[in-house]
Amino acid sequence: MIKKISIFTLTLMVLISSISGAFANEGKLNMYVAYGKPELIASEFEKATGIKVEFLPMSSGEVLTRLKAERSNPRTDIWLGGGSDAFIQAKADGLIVPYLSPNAERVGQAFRDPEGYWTAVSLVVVGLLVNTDRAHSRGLAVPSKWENLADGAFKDEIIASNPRTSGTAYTTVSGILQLFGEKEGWSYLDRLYGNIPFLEKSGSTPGTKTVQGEFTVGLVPDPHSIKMNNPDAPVVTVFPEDGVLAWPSPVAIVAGTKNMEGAKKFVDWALSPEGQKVLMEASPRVPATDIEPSSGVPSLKDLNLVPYDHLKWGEARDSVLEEFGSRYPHLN
Amino acid sequence: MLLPTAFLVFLLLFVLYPSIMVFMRSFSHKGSLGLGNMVAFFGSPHMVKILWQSGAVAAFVAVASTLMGLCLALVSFKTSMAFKGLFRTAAVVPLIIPGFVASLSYIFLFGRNGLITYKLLGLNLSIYGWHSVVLVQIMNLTTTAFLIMSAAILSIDDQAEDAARTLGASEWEVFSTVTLPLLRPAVLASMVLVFMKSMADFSTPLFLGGRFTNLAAASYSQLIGSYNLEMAATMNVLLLSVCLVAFWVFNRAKGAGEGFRRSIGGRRKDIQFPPAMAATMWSLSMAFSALVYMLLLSVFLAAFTKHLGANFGLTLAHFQEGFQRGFRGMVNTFIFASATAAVTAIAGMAGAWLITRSCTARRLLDLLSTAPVAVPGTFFGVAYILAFNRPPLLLAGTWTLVLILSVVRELPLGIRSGVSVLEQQDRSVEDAASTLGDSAVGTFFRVTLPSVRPAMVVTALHSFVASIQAVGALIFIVSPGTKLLSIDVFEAVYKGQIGPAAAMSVVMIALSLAGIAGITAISSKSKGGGPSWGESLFRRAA
Repeated sequence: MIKKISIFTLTLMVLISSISGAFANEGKLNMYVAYGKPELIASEFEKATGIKVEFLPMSSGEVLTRLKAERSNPRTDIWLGGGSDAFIQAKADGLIVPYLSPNAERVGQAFRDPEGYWTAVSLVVVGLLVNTDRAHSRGLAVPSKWENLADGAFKDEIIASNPRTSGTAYTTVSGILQLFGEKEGWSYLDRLYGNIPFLEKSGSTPGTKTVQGEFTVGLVPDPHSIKMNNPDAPVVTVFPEDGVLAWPSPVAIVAGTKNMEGAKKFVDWALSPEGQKVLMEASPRVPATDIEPSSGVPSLKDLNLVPYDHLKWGEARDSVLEEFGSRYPHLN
Repeated sequence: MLLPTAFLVFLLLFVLYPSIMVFMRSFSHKGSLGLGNMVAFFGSPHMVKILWQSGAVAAFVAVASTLMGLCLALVSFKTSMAFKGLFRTAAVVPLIIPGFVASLSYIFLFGRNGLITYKLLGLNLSIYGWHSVVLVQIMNLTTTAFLIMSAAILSIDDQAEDAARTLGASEWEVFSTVTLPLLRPAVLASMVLVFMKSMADFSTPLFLGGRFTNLAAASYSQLIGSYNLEMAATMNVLLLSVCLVAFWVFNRAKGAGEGFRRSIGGRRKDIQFPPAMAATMWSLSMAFSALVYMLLLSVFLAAFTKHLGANFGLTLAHFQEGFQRGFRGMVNTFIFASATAAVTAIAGMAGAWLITRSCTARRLLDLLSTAPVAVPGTFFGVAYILAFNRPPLLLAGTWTLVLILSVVRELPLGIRSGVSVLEQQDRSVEDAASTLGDSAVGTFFRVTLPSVRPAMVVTALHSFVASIQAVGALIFIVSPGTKLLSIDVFEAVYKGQIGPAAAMSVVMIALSLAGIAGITAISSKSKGGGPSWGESLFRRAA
């Protein structure tokens, strides 16, 4: 019996792995993508280079989890989009490999890894989405500065996500500390989070709920793109005039890729003017290179960007989150 | 000998092996074997709170959904109340609305800015919390309870009730001393199934929980947000333990009550409930149905209007966007759901036949094939990531694995419904065929197969609908080559693209209905008027 079972197991294994092997396509490029309209990116890249791209959309945390789990057999060649913090961690864990694209020079130094492990294709800007209908019915003025949000009048009218699980939220918390200094920063955060009834587990759901009129203000990534997605919703975008927080959204080549040539072509293309235009169309983000943003998208020079130290706050993540947890235990 | 061995190997590889991987990961803490993760979990008051509040919510939902399901089933099949057809449909509608879309519609109707709560009634409710999770879960899971209760009620022969009437029992006594005791096993089965589904549901707490979170949602966040595989595995081990305890309690309780014989397909006679009780039952059914239809309506409204709640101008733009993004997922979903349905139906019956008719390892087969019922979806998701990303079974990212996972998830139903038919059928019928000179194969095809056909149809139907909606376990193992519609919808809801999400949900609902119609048509054509799909669903084994 045991012998029979083991023979069977073996046959089944061989059979299954040969079937799955037969489906693996040679010239094809696989991509894990935390970026808008991946189907558009894939088809435009195929038009430009003739290389077919298979993609799967997911959050950058999920990409990282998957890359760790699949370390021995990565199912992807390219990782596009997500927060630079995840890329910094992936570099430390040896999950991505360096590639200095000739086009990387077009990207500001603050927005790429000095050794070329990752290069920003665009910037994610943290801003406010304000539901004007709700603000009006609550007698609230549209806020323009961070300080406005700490006002008691906004009690239970602000929604944000959890810094443990969302890059937007962590950038907000650490960016405030960078902007106001640690002491001043925490005392501001005390007042801000006093106005937030609970935290969403994902960075994008505060946007959904502000669009639905559940809250007056949502602390969200790229508020302008939510506005563009919902043109008929009564919402406006605000970029705080006393300091805007942003983080780079990079592209990287996965360690153990089975298609290095194709992967390099993808990185070159993503940073080229043509590729940047496609990425802009796919997701209306502030571009990382000098191309002209499409209408509705703020330009880098119009934003009062906080000089955010990605490496420092990436390393300080655990201690900042610990302090956050002990100050606001009710917000889990 | 070949078939049972093959079956056993399949189950060992795809049920036992991945589960062991989760346990191993949960007991490896920072590279060394030990209880570090468990200590970390139970050392955190926050985590312990998540554990008990998941259990409390699931227990509450289990009781409430079962009562609601019982109420709907009684009204549908044991009374002639007004609108009972409407109630019966409402009871199964949640089967085809994705759970996370229901949450979105719920916010639209009852949120802080809700159409009903705020715009109509001017209320300012804080809806985000455990109470909303409970309400939406009750709505989603009442369907499970209703199907089990209906099957049980339909299988009660009214002769037992008539006997009580003849002996002078009042209608209330007939119900409370005859009907209700006969439904006891079904009530228990429904409670344990709903309990486990509630424990495994992560999307409702994600959207509606506010400060409340359950184990499944927390493990999802651990995996997606904090990249912590070890803690996710630990949470899923605890999730599984809670479910196994629930299952054990169920088996203990069930064993005590099984001393009667049910007959299949008896005639049904109405019970005249006392007026106050009848009124309560009708009102509850009405409230439930109203809620379900309103949610369904708001999905359609969101799909066809410019901006739900602010601009009711008609548009097809969301469908355009939905088809552009999700077309491949739609095609994949249809093929994948059909394949799952076919494989599950056939494998389920083969398994049932092995378990009832032959084979040395039948107890092990039975245990392994039914065990996935007690395993929450996220557990399997994590298990498959851990097990099939490394040699010798490099299956991650392939259709093979996606298909295997959904077959494993649906197999318990297929096997249970097959077993329940085959156990009731006297073996002498098969013996008679072989005595009359038929071969073993011939006996199987000419005697056994026709009798399990209805069970196969039910299995196929359920697997088809369930795999169209499935997100829980699959979200962890789909990859660039294996896009599915349900995952697309989940992403769109998440990102606040309400219109396209609703449009794709409408397509999902249409696919479910088309599949149900298709399977019913195929099965009734070859038999000449089989049971309607609704009836076969109701008759699915408790």
